[in-house]
Amino acid sequence: MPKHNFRKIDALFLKLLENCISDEEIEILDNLFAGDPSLMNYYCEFVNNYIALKIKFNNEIEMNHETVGEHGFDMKFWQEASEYEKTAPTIGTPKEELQQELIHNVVYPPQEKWKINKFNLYFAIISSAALFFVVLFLKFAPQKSYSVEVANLVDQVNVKWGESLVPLKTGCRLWTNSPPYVLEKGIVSILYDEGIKVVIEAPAKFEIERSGIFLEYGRLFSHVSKSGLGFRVETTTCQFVDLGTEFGVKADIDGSSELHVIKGKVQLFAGADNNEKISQTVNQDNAVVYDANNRQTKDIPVLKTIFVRQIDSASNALWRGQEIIDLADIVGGGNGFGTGTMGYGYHLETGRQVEQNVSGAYKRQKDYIPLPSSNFIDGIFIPDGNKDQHQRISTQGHIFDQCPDTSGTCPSFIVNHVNDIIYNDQQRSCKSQLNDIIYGTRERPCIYTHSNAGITFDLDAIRKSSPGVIIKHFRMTCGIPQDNPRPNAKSNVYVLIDGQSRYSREDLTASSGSVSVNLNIEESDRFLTLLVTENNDSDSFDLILFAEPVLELETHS
Amino acid sequence: MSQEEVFFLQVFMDNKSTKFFGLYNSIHGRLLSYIMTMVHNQTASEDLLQETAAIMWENFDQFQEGTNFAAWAIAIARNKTLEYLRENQKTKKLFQSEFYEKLSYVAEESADDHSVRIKALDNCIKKLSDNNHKLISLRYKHNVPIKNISLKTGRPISTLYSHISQILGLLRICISKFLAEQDA
Repeated sequence: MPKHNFRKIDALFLKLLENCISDEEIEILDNLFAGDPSLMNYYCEFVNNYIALKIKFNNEIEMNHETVGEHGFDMKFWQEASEYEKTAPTIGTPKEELQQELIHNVVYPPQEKWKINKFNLYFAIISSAALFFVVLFLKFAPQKSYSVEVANLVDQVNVKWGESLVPLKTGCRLWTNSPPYVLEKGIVSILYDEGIKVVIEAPAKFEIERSGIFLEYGRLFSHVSKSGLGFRVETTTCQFVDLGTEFGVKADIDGSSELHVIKGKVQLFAGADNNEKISQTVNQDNAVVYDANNRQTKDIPVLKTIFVRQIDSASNALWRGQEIIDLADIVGGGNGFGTGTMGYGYHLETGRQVEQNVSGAYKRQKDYIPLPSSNFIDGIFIPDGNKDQHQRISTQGHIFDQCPDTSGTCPSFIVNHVNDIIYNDQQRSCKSQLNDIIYGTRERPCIYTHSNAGITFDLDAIRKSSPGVIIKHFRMTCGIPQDNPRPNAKSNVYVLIDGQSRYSREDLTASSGSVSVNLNIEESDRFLTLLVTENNDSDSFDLILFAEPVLELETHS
Repeated sequence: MSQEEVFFLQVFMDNKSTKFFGLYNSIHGRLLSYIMTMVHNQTASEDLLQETAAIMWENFDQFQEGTNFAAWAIAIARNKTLEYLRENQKTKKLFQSEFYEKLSYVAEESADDHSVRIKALDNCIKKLSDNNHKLISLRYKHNVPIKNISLKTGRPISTLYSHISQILGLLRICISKFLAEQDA
């Protein structure tokens, strides 16, 4: 028989027999049986023992005329049992240590004949038909199932479930009283029926409860709706009760727990021992750690971006509460949160992704080049308004109707810039510097290009990658590098929303310094376009930096 | 069986009932195990056990004395359980039908005489810790529902099931050893 976690299998068998097994657990067992037919024998043995146990106890009650009831329901016993449970040795595989412990000093009593119980015998005598069924009657109290469906698994990214669990499918219902879920890898998003959203990041082990969740270890972020007030996150040593919040919990295996309150407040109850419980209200922008070793809480700096708050499996995007999306990162092939590559960008003639900028004489081949390979860039183009000043700026046909007439050429790509700007002859360079600030680093990213170039970002696609997040503003600094070899180089810069100019600056030069752009973004705005064109002078050295171009975010209230 | 019990049987039961009762008593644990294995539902098991017993009683005249009474009983039980599973395929949580076909044969082979198993339990339960013994007694002797135990202790139901299944695992190991010793 392949190696199995018999402890978990026993728990599943028990729940199966007591009719409180979930559909998902049935599926787990189904797969286990399919994978190892010999497990059927193990299951039959389990049932044999289970029935024998019941018959034995039933006989004891009848023979001793005992009355049933909650005998021995002594709170002290149960507190001790709870403590024992925490410290009890794990069973592991069946043949370990316990065999020795249990069979030590076994004394086999002499074999007894099966005795007919007098009580049953007298009933048997009274009537033939009724007697027959009374003899067969066994005092099994029907066991009610108290598993209830309380949540949905709404999304998952790069997930690997632990041990013998069959992977849960997105959209499946989650039940209380299920075995613990072990998440070895990835992130899952769970939505409770009361509107509480919980995002759990691996490695983690958790159990679904009626109005809460038990997190044995791992990271969890909870966003509680008004109808979900009182939602409870429990770890091995703490309870966190929501008072109308967004908060993150990090639980370690040693029992230490951290609470970071992002919005609202949370009531914390810390400590495993009822006599030493610490109760504390933790407010917004505060964080607390409970140290299981010294059994104390301590204030710590709140960390707002260590918990995954939103996931989107379609784009593999995560949102950890970052407040901005970096458009330079998107040009570098990223998702706006630092996953892009510095130096990467796009060829303005073909739309091909490139690994670095290469100067050349690139000519406008099409009026607009869609970029289906990018999740968030709708397209790029070399703008040329010609006589009618019309320039297409999106795949949906939006037109910028004030586009200047240009040469229709651009000597560079459009890239997520890094390091210095290198010129055609590869022997000269200038710093990507505006107002004495160096750009083109992870800390200060920028998009580099040259007139004539344009790029359109799809705000709807960006919104979808961060569900529950609103784009509120766009801001950037832009300008011609202050050390530009041709100090009098002039460019025109435009920022468009759905083809409409929301910002324009003509005759921008190195000496005029950088300009700041700050625009409100409405929920209906679809396409954001950054566009630079040559001025009426030559287009040589019309370098342009779109520095720190970001979308500022806000969560839905 | 004591002299007194034999007297009562002879006085108040006819020969057929006596024979049936005696045979049935000897296999009822095995039969119940078989049914429970197949339908994994206590309430349904009780009902099916009664139905099976009723059919056995009605057809007892057809049973050939000296042949395997347990096999005869289980054959009837197999039909009843498979019928139950077919009727409940859409409304209850069940495994695939092929699983039950195979299981019916495995369960028949593994269903055994519970008297020896119960004897093993007599010994093995004594070796449990007090707390484990109490938990098992509370749950299966006094039939306290898991929910009540959970409410009283504040422990999640899943944790209690985990604990109980651990105890059953301990008992299983002990019983296996006992049965192996008996066979030897």
